[in-house]
Amino acid sequence: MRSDVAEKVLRLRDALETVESINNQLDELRKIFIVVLTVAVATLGIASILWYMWGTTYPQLHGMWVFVGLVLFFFPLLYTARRLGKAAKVKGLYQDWDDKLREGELGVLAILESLDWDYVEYRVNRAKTLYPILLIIDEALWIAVLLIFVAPAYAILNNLLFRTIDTPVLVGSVVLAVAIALAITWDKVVNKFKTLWSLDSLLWEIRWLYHEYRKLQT
Amino acid sequence: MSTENFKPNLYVLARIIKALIDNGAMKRTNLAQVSGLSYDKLQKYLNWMIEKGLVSIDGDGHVSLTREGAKTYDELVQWIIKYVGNLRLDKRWRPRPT
Repeated sequence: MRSDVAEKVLRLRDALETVESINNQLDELRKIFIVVLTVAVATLGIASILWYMWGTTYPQLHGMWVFVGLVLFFFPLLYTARRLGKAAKVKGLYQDWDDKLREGELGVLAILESLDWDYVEYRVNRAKTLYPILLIIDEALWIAVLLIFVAPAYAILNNLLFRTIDTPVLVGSVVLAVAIALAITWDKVVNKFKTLWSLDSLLWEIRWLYHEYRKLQT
Repeated sequence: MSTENFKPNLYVLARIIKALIDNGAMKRTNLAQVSGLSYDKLQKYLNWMIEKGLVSIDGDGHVSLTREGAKTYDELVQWIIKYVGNLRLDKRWRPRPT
């Protein structure tokens, strides 16, 4: 078989695996939202009950709110990063394409026949449309992590220099965290935008190939 | 038997034709074995292929490929080269084997 055909088929597989990876991450978002919300409500609920029961008797329970704050801040970060990282790994899908390609042209036909075209088109379209959500979440995670370091440093610096810690300082630290996050992840952001662009052209190529394949079938 | 509503799987079709190209005319049972199909399934495909003039069956029951059949296989290969080979896929999608 001509090597350019085999190469194109393997490129197509890589593209479709990326599409599946994006879709898996998008599928995971609902679960992440529910778990994070449940943990937040449960933590706040338990903390509130403890506070109303023993808050006046044991003033040291004040420290509990620090713990609650840490849980509410770190749990969503770590849980989201872990779940998305796990969901991004696509295993098994389209792995038989290597074996099929060993059959030469027949194998390419086997691959094209095995594809559920409507499903593929739907998944590519979904990945293309909702991919910016993942991009935003990724940046938000970076910003949140950077805020842990930037906000106190910025506040201390302002206090030392201007003897003030007020709202503009807090806004300033957020802006600084956003700027640093963008600087650190700039290549990644550009790469993701390129992926988004590639997904758009992939969708058109798949539509075109499907159209031609349907014509061949008839 | 009418094959009006029969929609062939192009992979299976190509496998039958390839088996006939590689081995020449052969009995249906042998063809089923070589192309890895059940006898019933092969019969369905043969009925359709006879109707389209891709194969013929002689008095001894030997299935042979017609000129049209051989041309169909070439057309399938050409189609793959033309359309799959010309897919414009971004360089970011890497052709890595698993």
